[in-house]
Amino acid sequence: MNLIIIIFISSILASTSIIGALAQNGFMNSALTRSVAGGTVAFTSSNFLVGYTNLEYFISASANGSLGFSGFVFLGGLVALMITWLSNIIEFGVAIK
Amino acid sequence: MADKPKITGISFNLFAIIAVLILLPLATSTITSFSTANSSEYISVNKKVEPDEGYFPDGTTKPFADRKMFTWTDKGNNMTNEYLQSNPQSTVDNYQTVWDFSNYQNFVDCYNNWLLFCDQGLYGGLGGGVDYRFARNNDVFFQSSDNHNSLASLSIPNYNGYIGYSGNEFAWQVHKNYMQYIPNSSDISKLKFTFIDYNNAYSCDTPIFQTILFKHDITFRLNSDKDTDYTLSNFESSKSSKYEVSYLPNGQTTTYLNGTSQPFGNICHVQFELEYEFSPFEIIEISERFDRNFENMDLFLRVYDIKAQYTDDLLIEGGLTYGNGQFAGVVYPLAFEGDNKHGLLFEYTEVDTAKTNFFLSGGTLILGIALFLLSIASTQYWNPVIEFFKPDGV
Repeated sequence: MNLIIIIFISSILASTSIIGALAQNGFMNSALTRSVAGGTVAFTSSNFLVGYTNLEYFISASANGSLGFSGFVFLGGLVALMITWLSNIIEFGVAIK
Repeated sequence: MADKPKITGISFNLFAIIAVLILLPLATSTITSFSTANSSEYISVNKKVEPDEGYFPDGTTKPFADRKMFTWTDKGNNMTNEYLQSNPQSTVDNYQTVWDFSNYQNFVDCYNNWLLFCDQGLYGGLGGGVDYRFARNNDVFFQSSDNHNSLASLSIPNYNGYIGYSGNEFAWQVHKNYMQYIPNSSDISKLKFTFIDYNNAYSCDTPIFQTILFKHDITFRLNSDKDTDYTLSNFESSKSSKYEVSYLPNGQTTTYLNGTSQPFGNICHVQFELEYEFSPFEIIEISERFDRNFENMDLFLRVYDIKAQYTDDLLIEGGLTYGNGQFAGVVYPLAFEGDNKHGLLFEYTEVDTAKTNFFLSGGTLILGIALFLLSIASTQYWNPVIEFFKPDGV
């Protein structure tokens, strides 16, 4: 079980590192790898998570209605995915059943 | 062996989590990139400025307020004390007013108060025998005043010239007289201000050219009303300070500093490129909030935390004239510092916000549906991927 946790954490770190490296090298939309007006980005302002600034801003824009109906569909899909994975982990010990 | 799935348990979950952690930010990035893909090439505002901008049709000169186009609001460090130390015979007023334009009444020279259309006490515009435009490559620049007043014009006892440390924070105001040349049908997606030190040219491979790192903000204001302020912050830029000149108009000269004669090849000026790239959300917000009313809009630009990067691991902060240690004596100036003039080029790009909205909303909708499908596929009721990998007959 410990090995599995280590593998999971390693995979998450590897993923964030890949996205971070892509962001640092300009592969992400540069206008969205900074924290933007209104202070809507709070969690991803550190360099390590800078690749996720874009995603966080997207979530924030969806939540405040800037993206209209599409934004709410996106937010709903993301929440549904998180709930499904969490309940799967609690019930079956894996995210995807 | 034939009955065993090719991908099982933990490995499949790992693939899924990594895919989401990598693909989701890439997907949002792709959507935002597509939504601004219809952005135009840079359009020069300078080329649009009317040659007789500073005058009424009857030839009389417009009032000051109607001629201001681009002015200093923060000229960097106040070097009064340093000037006084280098020249004890001078007075505070001699230098304080060089830096602080709010105290400029002691001088009739208009350098202190604004940049464009103000030269040698002549409050003219383009035309009237005075043309403040000049060309480099295919660009048209305007002459602008450096951050310090022309020291040579101040009648300072034992004049010692410009002291070259100017700080690492500066600010300007772009007046509505300049903004009016952006059509009110445009949705601006980028703004760029290029400053060049056109009075001095160098061989393009001299170490004076480095990568300049800096942060910058911009504030939009309508009808001079502070309540309308819309500020976008935390822009970070890494720009080369090299402006390569392949075309210099006949009759225009520049001081070539690195050698006894000007080479046959290209020459280079020191430049400072201040570029604002807006996100699709900001592009739409700017257009809708201000209704594209650029003729009544002022911009406030701020640059701070300026650093010069000599090598990958060596950053020099603060002083922007002479390096220390192994780089002692090496010059790393900013294009707009000094007591002479620099060139200014103002450009913008535009997008079609209808298309931006379409790609943004459409892409987000597709992404949302994909996430819903993925969440259903993560349950035991629908497993399209696992079904695909299962051996036949299982």
